[in-house]
Amino acid sequence: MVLLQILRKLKQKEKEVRILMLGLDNAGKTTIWKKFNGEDINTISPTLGFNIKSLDHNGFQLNIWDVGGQKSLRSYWRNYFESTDGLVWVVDSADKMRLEDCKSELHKLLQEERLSGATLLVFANKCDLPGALSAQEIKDALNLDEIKTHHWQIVWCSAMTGENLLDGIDWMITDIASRIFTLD
Amino acid sequence: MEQSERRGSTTFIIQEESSAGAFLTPAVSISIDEGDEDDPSCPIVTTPVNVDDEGHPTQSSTEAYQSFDTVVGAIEDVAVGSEFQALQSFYLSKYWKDFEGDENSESTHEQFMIFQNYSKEMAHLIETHVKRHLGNDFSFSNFIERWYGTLEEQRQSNNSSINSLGVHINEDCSQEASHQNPTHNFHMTCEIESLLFTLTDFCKFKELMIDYRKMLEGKTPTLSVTHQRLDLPH
Repeated sequence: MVLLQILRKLKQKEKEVRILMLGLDNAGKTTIWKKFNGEDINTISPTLGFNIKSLDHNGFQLNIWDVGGQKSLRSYWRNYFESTDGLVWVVDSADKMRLEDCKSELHKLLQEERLSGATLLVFANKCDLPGALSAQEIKDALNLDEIKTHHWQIVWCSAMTGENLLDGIDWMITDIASRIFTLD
Repeated sequence: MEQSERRGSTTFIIQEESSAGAFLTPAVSISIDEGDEDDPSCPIVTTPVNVDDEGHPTQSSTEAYQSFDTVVGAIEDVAVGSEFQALQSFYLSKYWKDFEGDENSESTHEQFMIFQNYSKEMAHLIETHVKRHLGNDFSFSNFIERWYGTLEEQRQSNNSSINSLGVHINEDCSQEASHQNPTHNFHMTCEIESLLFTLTDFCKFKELMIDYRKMLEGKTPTLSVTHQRLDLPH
């Protein structure tokens, strides 16, 4: 579909950055998404579909997609891969029981052809909870050092307080911009 | 999706009155009876795409500007054509019930799949139509490059119009429309810009669906009665 491809390219020229946020259910994706939008985070229920919002940030237009992560819904993730510039993988750092699941889902995504050009940001969320693993421990548990195919970074954060969210996103945008917008 | 099903929809007329279908309003610069789509004597066909000695489209002559307008004309032509309107009506009338809530509420995977199909079918229709008129060598890529140039120009001439939530062309052009430069023949109508962005922007598509739903449910109750009666088995 030539026309659609060209229209998408045009959007890149608009400095539009498409960010796809995935992760297991209850990782805190929607809380992060709402925090970015400045919305109330006290009444969040599990996401069955997805949320999308456009935000202006540092001269870029960020299109942030927050897609629900329940096991039965993960097969829908592939519908949203197209044109993704940045993949945000959100981890519940206190959910030690599901780290193995978390690792395998992430590495499965990294095999996806349509995500091959995307920058990966791992948010080690809920780091402030008692008993939570540190970002370093999450990095080891998810075998991040094995990733050679994508630019990646892990950042600890708290979606509830908003700590480190901007730092993470800013790193990601800088990385994406250095790949895509170098001609400007 | 049967053609007959689309044509059988009674919402064609409703849809023309819809605010949601604003971009379907025929543009001022084109008249619907300009020529039959399939008629080779149609003015659009007889305007050649400008090419250089090696057959590549020329970039910067007055003729190039005209050929830009020709493409816009061809897209406008398809946008007011019955095939296009039938396809859009089909989507609106079949799927409006799947779009509940407002623009900000959570979207469903089903909505996104409807959007993807809509997008593919509409783009295919436009491409096929434009190529039929301008020849298979016609390059959408060149066209979009030039279009982008005009958008940049517009933005520079009124660069205060970018709002906090997005750099959407529609917002630019809604302001731009009120004080157009009449000598500017390198201008695409807002309707066509909106139309093209509905194809790649899920939020725009969702807005279109929700506006249609609101129209059926609120502003014109009699039409929704008509619609319900259609669903009865007898």
